[in-house]
Amino acid sequence: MEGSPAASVVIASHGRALRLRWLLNALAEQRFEEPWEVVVVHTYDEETASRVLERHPLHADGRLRHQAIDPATGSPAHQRNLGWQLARAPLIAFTDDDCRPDADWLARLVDAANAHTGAVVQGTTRPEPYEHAIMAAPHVRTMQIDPVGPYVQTCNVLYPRSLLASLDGFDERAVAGEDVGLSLRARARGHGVVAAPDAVVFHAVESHTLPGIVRQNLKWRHLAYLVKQHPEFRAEMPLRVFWDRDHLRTVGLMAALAGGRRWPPCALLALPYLRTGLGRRGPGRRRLVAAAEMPGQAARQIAEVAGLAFGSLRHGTFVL
Amino acid sequence: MRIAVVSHASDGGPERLVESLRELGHEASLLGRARPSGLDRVLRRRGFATPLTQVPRTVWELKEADCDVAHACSPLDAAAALWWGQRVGRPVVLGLADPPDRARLAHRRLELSLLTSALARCDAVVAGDDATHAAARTWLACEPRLAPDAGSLIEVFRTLGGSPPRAGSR
Repeated sequence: MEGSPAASVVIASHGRALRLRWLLNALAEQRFEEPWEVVVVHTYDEETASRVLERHPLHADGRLRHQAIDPATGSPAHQRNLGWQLARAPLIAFTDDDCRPDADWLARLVDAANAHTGAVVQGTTRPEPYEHAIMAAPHVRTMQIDPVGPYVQTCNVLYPRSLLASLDGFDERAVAGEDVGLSLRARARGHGVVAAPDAVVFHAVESHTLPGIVRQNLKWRHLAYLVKQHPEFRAEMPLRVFWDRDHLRTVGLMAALAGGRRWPPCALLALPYLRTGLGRRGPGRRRLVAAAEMPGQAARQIAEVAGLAFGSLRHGTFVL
Repeated sequence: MRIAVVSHASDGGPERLVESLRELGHEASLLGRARPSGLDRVLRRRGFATPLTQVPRTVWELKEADCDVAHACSPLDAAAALWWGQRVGRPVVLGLADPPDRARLAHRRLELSLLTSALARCDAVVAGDDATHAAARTWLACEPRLAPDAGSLIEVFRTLGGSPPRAGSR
């Protein structure tokens, strides 16, 4: 690669070597005319790094650099901070190792950044179409984001390097929501978030068992820390208390379960949850599938709300 | 050598491989053929890689066949072969007959975990031709051995560990 890069793509990777490879393959197909680079900060051993990273054509081109860190010290925030500090371009695009960017992704992000100097740029994220069949699973993790949203997730976002430096990057004390926190600090400094709807990234669709997804979602209890640091975020939250409308409906369900026997009208509080839950899979016969899945969905969401309640106690601020 | 070719699919490729191995004087058998199952249809509608219900039957067939090596034709077949191979100390080879295609590497539930498990735990990965070899490097980040015919496949089997071949066979 000749000349200083116009953009750097920074990726934090852990435990997903094969998906990282697929991401690199998609980056190798970027239709971006100016010099650019990829920086990967990962926790893989030497053999895996050699196989996945060093034997990739981007590495041979001089476009890919990587840094291994001790897995015990790894966290998304820490790895992304190392990544942007190693990067050389004035514009830093972030995506995740379970994503696949469209061929025009980087070009569209950079176009928007150049049209809005100093702004944060958020692209569009969709569930990976290759993995659409997995959406039939009851407990699925993927992303569907239309910019500009309240969370500005790092699966598809660009920051000017100078802004990252002035904000000291991601808050490494945040176990969850560090990307939301960074965007809030940027906004507080007067930097807007603009949309690049044609900068598209496809996010993996991964199914989990109920215990697995409950374990994965335990980290969301630390969102209370984010809200404590950024009380202005409550303006985005239903009734300024609930993380999202799902949690609001879940608390209604919990109240109905707890009080419905003693005072039957209380059972009406479950109606919003039931209505949304039954419609989750679509109309007609799919309501039967949704009904069968409802106990598992309720267990997952009650666990999330309970986790946030514990997080609220720990961080001294009320979020459900 | 007694070789089990493990394949749930019926596209003619595994059958031809078994024939070629027999022509070279080896005892080759085709195991793991999928029988239509109502449960697999339900699992498929729920997004699973199928035929999952075939796996226990394939493990049983491998145990009965008591082969020296298992050649698995897909990650799903490798799951059964590895279950058997690691209990009896016999090697398992993952054979890639066609170039891996990103669209089909993780397109159903369990597909990706079966694939990563097969790549990590099989004693060898082989590619049937240069195009498959190149695609495996690109999409699987691995360096499979090239085995375009039955003869070169036998050479791969010979280099693997596990129990020695039975007396009276090659």
